Amino acid sequence: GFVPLYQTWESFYSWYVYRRIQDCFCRPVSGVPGAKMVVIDRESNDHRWSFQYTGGHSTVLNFGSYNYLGFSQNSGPCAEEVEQTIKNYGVSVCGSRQELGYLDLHKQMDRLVADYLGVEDAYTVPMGFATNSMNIPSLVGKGCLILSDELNHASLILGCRLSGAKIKTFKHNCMKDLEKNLREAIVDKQPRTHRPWKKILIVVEGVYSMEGSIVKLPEVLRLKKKYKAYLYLDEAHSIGAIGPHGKGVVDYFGLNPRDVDIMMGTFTKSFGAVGGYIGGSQALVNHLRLYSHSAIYSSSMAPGVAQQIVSSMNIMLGRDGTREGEKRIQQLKWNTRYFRRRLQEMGFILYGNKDSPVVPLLMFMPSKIAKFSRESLNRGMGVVVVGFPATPMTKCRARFCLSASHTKEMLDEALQITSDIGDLLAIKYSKAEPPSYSENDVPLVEDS
Amino acid sequence: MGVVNSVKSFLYFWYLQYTLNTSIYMLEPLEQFLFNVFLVGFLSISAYTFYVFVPAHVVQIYELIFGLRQVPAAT
Repeated sequence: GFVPLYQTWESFYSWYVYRRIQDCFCRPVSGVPGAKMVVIDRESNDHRWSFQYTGGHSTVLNFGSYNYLGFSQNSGPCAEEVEQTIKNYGVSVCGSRQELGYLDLHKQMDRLVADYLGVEDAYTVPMGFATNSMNIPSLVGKGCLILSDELNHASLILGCRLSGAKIKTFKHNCMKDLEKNLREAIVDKQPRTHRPWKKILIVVEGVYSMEGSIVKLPEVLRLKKKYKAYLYLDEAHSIGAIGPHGKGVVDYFGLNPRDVDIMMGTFTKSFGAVGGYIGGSQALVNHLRLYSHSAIYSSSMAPGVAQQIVSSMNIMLGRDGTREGEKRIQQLKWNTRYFRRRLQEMGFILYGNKDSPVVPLLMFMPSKIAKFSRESLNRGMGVVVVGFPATPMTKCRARFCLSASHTKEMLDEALQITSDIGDLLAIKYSKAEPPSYSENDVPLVEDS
Repeated sequence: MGVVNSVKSFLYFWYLQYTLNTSIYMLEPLEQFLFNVFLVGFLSISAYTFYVFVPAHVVQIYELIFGLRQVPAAT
């Protein structure tokens, strides 16, 4: 017969659920999405099949951008240095890394990333998604085993599938399941031939973006050393946002960065730029510089973006002479603790660790997230709501992304709006006891 | 006026809870109307059936368990 015209479940979902609440997703914004953003108003006259602009703009509080350290600004020292660099170097490099695309700016940026992480050397890629999907195939291949967390990001899953290795998933953040899989892998070996695996790679993320949970890194390192596997740590959301010095989840637990074989991260979330990096031993980075897909086939990072990374990392390391970096880290930590404590006291169900700046607020039904999104936009707060397929169908949530550029007044306003909508929608489900942590043990750096 | 407003907000809150939890909040107004008509019709027919048949059933069960007949009647 013929291939069916439509897929039963996906088409049903996209026509009958997603299309009807489409005004909550993909909203057009204009200008810089900093602590406040400008959303362009639109309305729909035919039940969300099409939208028309009404001509108005609303300035709303921005809890949707991954702006953890507040570098999403169009003025300030970073922006001035970027302007100067674009005047010197031009807008694009027009070449791949291995062919005339390696500027002294890239060398400085690689060195700076390596110093920031505390590893021997680092390698940068101009696209964050491609850092995962194009570099995992050059590290593992057929005959290797990948143990990846079940809630890993799509870029990691794509990279693992492209590599041709066998993939096994383990339960989210469950170290017993990981140990069981490792032991089975070492005993049973490859499926048909029973030869030992060439490499076993454990792929985890630092902070998971949909749950806000932090990986149990000391346990993973202990298992890695015991069973002689390699560890690939994707710190997309945790670099800059977690840890006493903002150096990621390794810093948060106080471990040695040389223990993690491959430290990957992105500059998109905390540093206000684009692209990703992979840091590790000199041998690893030498191999990647020769054999990675992005070194050969994709153009290397634009000079303006590279300068933004260099400027923001210099600020974070304190090399520009001010305490701006430390101030931002402490402000983010204070904001995280305060926001989470107040929301939990109000009675919402939150996921995630008490220190993660990603705050998912659970509302278990798709219609509730639609109402939440519309009400909060009307009252002046812009949040991201997620449903299927990013999360399971019955665990839809709203996700707040806190930032160091949010002041206490903005947080109080957001909390008031959330509480009002929570009373209207009756989503204050939590019966847990009030939180035991508070923001008082986070010292803020005062302006001198 | 205050009483009318509080009654209105009470009804709005409960109608909102009903539409959210049954997910007809996402449907177009015509579909919401049809669903409500169907639901009200179904509930009214089942209320009528309850009213007509349930008292007779209850009396029959009572007589079966505690009644004075030796053999259950085959009606």
